[in-house]
Amino acid sequence: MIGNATTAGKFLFGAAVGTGMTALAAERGGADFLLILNAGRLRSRGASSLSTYLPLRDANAWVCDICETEVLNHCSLPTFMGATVSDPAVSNEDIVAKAADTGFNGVVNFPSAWAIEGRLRQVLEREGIGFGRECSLIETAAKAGLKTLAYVTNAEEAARMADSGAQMLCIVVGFTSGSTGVKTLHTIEGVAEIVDDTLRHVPPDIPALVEGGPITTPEDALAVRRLSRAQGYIAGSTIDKIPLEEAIEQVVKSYKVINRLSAGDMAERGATGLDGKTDLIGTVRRQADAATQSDEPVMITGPDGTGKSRLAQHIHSSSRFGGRRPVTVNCNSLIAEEAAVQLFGRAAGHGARGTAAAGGLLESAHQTTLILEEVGALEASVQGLLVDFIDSGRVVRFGSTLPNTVDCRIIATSNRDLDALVAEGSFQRDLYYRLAVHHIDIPALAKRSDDIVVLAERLFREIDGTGKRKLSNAAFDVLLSHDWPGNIRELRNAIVRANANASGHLVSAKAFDFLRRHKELREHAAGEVEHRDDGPGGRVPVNAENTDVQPLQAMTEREWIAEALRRNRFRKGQTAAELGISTRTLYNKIVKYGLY
Amino acid sequence: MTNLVLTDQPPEPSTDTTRPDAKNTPIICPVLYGLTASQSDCAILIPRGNANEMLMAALQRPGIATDTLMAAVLCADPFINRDKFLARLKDIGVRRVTNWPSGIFFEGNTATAMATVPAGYRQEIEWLISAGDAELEPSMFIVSREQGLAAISAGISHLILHPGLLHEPDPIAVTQLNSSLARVAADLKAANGECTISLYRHPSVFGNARVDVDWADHLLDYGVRA
Repeated sequence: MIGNATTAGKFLFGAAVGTGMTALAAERGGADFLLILNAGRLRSRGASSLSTYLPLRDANAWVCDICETEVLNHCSLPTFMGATVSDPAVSNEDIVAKAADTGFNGVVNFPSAWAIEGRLRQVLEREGIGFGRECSLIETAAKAGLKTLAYVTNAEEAARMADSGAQMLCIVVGFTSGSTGVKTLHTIEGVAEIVDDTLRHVPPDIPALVEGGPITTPEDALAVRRLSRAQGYIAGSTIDKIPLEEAIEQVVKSYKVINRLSAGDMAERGATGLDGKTDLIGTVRRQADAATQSDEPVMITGPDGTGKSRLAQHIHSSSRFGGRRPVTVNCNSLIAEEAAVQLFGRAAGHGARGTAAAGGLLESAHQTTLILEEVGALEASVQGLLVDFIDSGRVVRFGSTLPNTVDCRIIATSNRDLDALVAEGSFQRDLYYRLAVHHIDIPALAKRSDDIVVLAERLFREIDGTGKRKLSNAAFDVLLSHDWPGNIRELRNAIVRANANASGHLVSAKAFDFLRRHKELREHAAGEVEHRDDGPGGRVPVNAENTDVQPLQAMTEREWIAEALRRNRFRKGQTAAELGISTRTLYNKIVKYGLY
Repeated sequence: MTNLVLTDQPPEPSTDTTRPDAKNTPIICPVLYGLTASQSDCAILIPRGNANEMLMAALQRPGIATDTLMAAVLCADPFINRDKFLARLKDIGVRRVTNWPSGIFFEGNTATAMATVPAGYRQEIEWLISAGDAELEPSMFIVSREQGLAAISAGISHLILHPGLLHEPDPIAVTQLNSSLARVAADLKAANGECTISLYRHPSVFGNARVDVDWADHLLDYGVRA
């Protein structure tokens, strides 16, 4: 089966395991063969793969025991015994006989002397318990009719193992990097070069696989296969330790988030839409309640997306004018020269002969609420007129001398720091005092993350509408981990998008993957802005104005990555470092977007 | 001069104090059984049994004079509960411990990779400091000036100087090596005048010649049964 795969060009996948559970899972996943190694068992016990070398147990006896009791009685895949030859007291003939007697189909030299450098390696070889003896093991096993797989690291070792009768080779490019704690200096391209160099004296009919170094994902293995003679991959920590740890971490988080979900169940649900249990939002609710008890002006401040308009609407609905529609004026959209006229109206013939009389927005607000959104954008002259209006309750149209009484409630909102605007003189102190009889400051969502669960649940119910779907615990964990610069508006949009992405009754964490990408793009954009060169004038100072990410938001992720790759001459490690993402993530995206 | 001997089993209980080796302090490392001295240098890479369990089993045999021997511990054992293990050694009467099989020979990428276990001389120093804290007297195998100075800095004052790997018995080379080892010993004594230094008379280096040196406080011989 394994030998025939050479001519078939089949991608070979070997699973290096140390427990029955991982062996069975690998078989179900379609692995071509198993390597039973004590390293797999050591990993499952929380130790490093490198502990395989240590005198912690008789490694050969241990591997035979694992195979006999946990693997052979459950799996039908060919199995290779990871056999050590470092004990001079045990002959290779005895090892091979034990392998055959246990029921292994073949042997592989593991742990091998390849990882040992320097004088210690020379002592191993001089004492006859190093790589030379591993070649002898392979030769003995081949003669005994067992399958043979040999770990090698260079051309000389590969040639020696081929001469010894190895039917398959696995080129090791160092221990696997990443969560194993080992760092690799190899790139995927470098690995491909090592593979081809190692195989330069090896007959083409001997299948060659690869393992270790930077190869931690199927995409990495695919890339090496495309770039080199490697025909397959052997996975150890990349199929048990790394994915298992990640999966367990996610599942545990899903359970642990129950604490915060339970707290959400008990949270106060305000009719204001300002759901939550934090002290911050509790204060806002109390202030809002007080505002509904009077007709005095209200000032609502807070960052974009925090729900200022919604709160203004609520206060209006609770007021004596609640039965009527409020008049809402977005001060940002007022045309500067005409703002005063738009607000106060004009008499017939004002400004130009023949123009008709027109009431302003203030008159339209008689017997209802006037909501002035983003009041900080009003021109200074209009601000003065508003002060007069608030004091007198009367409106005089431009071009007229007749006042009209307007009985209305004023609610103003602003995403800007009005105290600062007053201090710098761009917002009239008089107007500020008149509008801020009730001042409600809504905090950013990031400052009240404990309210996210409650808000997300309510928004999800509103958006989904079916009552059948739910957000998974893992999805809540993603929401709780996000920083929400766009506040509740961003949360709402995220839920809309995730709900559309998801299928089935449970919206998983994966449906919110775009949040992570958004964050990466934002961070990248912030970095770009920080380093943007503004021509001869030098660098643009970073401030709230020039951190505008619009140009970069228009760029797709594919373009972003492609540009970075070009900038770095397709050096993957360098590109990943620049983008602030892992090499693994970069490779996934290269494959996803076909950027080869 | 009191000698040390690295061996795989504690001496059988005996009242015969006239035996030639009776005054030697044995360093007990059972996992070395059948290994040559050079193979013993590689013992940390030979997974033939549980070194620490074998040690404990050997020391718990009836009649063993545990207070006169030195227990050789595999400090890199990732599964050992250090405090409990040290307490057990103390409970059975052990007074002195050392680091063998040892990672003092790891170099280059091997040293970097094995540090993730963690295994290597720094980890062994840390382990021996814990032994000191548990009121056991630590002695440390070292193979370089750097390792010796690190051990002294950590408060370990009994050092066993290994002559290094890859030597063949050669009178000229041995002479040169002797003077090199003497300089290392002098440097270590200069760093801590109180420290004692034992020279490991490694048979692969010194052959069968019973080399004697005036700069060492003690000599260690290899005494594992073939």
